[in-house]
Amino acid sequence: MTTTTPPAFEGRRADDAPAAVHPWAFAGLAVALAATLVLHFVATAISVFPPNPASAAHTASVHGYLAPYFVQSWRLFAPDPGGPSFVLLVQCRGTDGATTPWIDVTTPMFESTRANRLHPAQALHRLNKGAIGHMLGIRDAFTEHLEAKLAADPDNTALREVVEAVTRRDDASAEARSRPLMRLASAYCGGILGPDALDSVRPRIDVFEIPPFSRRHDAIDPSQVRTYEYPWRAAESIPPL
Amino acid sequence: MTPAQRWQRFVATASRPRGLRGLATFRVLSGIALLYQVLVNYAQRRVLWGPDGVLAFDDWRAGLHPLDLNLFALDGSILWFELAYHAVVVVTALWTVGVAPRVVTPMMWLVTWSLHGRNAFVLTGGNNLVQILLVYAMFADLGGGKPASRPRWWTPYLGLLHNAAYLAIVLQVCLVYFSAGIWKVHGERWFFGTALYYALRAPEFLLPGVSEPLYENATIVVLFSYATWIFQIAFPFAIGMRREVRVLTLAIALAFHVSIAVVMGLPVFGLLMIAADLALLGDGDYAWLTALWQRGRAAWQRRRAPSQGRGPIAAAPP
Repeated sequence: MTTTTPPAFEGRRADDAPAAVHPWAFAGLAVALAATLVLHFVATAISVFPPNPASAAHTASVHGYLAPYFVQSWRLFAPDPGGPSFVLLVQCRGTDGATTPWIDVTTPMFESTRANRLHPAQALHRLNKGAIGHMLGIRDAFTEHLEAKLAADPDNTALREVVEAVTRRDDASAEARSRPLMRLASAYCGGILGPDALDSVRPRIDVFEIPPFSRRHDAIDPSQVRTYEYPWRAAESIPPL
Repeated sequence: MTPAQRWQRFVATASRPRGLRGLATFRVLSGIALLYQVLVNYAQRRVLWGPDGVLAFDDWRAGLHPLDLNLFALDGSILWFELAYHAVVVVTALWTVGVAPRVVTPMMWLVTWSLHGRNAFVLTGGNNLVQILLVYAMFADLGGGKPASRPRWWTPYLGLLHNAAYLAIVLQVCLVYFSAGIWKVHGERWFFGTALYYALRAPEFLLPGVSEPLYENATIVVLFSYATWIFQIAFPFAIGMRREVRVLTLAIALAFHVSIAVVMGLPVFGLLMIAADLALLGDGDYAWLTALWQRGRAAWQRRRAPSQGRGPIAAAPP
C-alpha cells in the first residue's frame, strides 16, 4: 500500500509540508468517526426529544449508553414556564431555649441579585430551590395518579395494595429526601445564632402562583399562598451561611 | 479528476482543522463563566460543595453512578475537598488563558464534571451543555490553531479527529436549540403566546423597572413568546445556510442570551450559551466579520476626515 501526500498542502512553505497518510488507516478512522457520531447523536436525539414510539422502544438502552456523562435535558422553560414559586423561611432555637420568629431567607436573596446580577446569592437561591424541590418531590406524579385511580375505584383491592406499597416507599425515602433542606436550614440558623449556640431548626416553605396573563396587572394574592411547615429537628453540623 | 486526485482532495479537506477561532473563543468565554462560578461563591464553597455541606458526603456518594469518575468522591475529608476545589480553580484559570490546551482540556473536563456532579442543585442548563461539550473538546485543538513546529506523521489524523470533535460540538448545540424549541410547541403558554409573561414575572427572574413594561405589554409578550420557539426550531437549519444567514442567526442568539443574562439574572447560563454559540462561527466567518469591521471602520474614518478638515482651523481665514 502506498502513502498519499495531499495536494492541498502544495504551495505551502517547505517546513509546513504535511505528513503522508496511509490510505486504509485514514479511511478507517474517517469511517469509524462518522459511524460514532451518527450513533451517538441518534441516541442523544432519542433521549432529548419528547416521548415518541422510538424513545419508548429504546429508552433503557439509550439511557444505559448516555449515563452518566451524556445525560441531558433541554426543556428550558418547557413545556410551560411559570410553575410555582417558593419562599424559604427558617425558625431557629438556641441552646438557651430562645426561639427566633420565622425568618425569610429568600426575599433578601432576590433583592441582592436584583441590585447586582453577579451576586453570590444567585447560586444560593438555586441551592434553596434544589433542596425544596428534593423535599416536595416526595409525592411524585406517579403516586398522585395511582391515588386518583384508587379514589375513583375504592373497591379495587389490588390497586389499594399497590398504593400502600408506594406510600411505604415514599415514607422510607422522606427522611433521606428531607436531609438537604434540614442541613440548609441549619446553615442559615447557624449564620443567625452562631453554630455553637444552635440547638434545633425548622424550615417552612411558602408556595405561590403568579396571576394568569389576563390578570397581569394584579399583585400576587397572599391569601393563595400554600404553606408547608416542618417539625423541629436537631440542628445538623454544617458551616454557617 | 482522477480517483487518486479525488482521494487526495478528500484527505486535504478532512484533515484541515476547522472552527479554530470559534473553539478558542468558546474556551475563553466558557472558562470565564466557570471561573466566575467557582470564585463568586468561594466563601460558601463548603456549604455548596463540601463534604459537610448541604449534600453530606456519604449521602451524595451513595447516589453516584458506578462509572462516575469524580474527584470529590475519592475522600470525604475537608483537606481533600480543599485540594480538589483549588485544583478546580487553578485548572479552570489555566484552561481559560490557553496554557497547553491539548493537555489541560482533559483536566478541565475532569474538574468541571467533578464540581458539577458534587451538587446538581446549583447548576444551570449552560453547565449541563458545557460539561458535554468538554468531552468532545478533548479531541479538538482549542488553542486557536497555533502551528506545530513541524508536521508529523500523525498531523492529518489529528486534524481529522479535531474536525469530528468540532462537528460533534456543532451538532450538540443544534440539538439543544431544536429540542428546546420542539418541547415548547406543545406547551399551552408557548402555543398561545403568553409564555414570556410567566418567565419574566417569576420573582426569581424579575428585574424591577425592566420586567414590568415588558410583561405588561401584550404585543411584546406574544411577539417574543412566538419568536423564541420559532427561532429555536429554525436554528439548526439557519446555521447550515449561507454565511450572512448564519452570522445573523448567531447575532440573534447572542442578543437572546445577553437578555436572559441581564433581564432574567442568569449570567452563568447566558455566558455559557454565548460561548457555545460563538463556537459555531467558522474561521471563514470570523475572517469575513473582521474584514467587514475593517471596511466599516475605514469608511467611517474617511467620512469623518473631510468633516474634520472643515473644522475651525481649516475654516479660519488665511
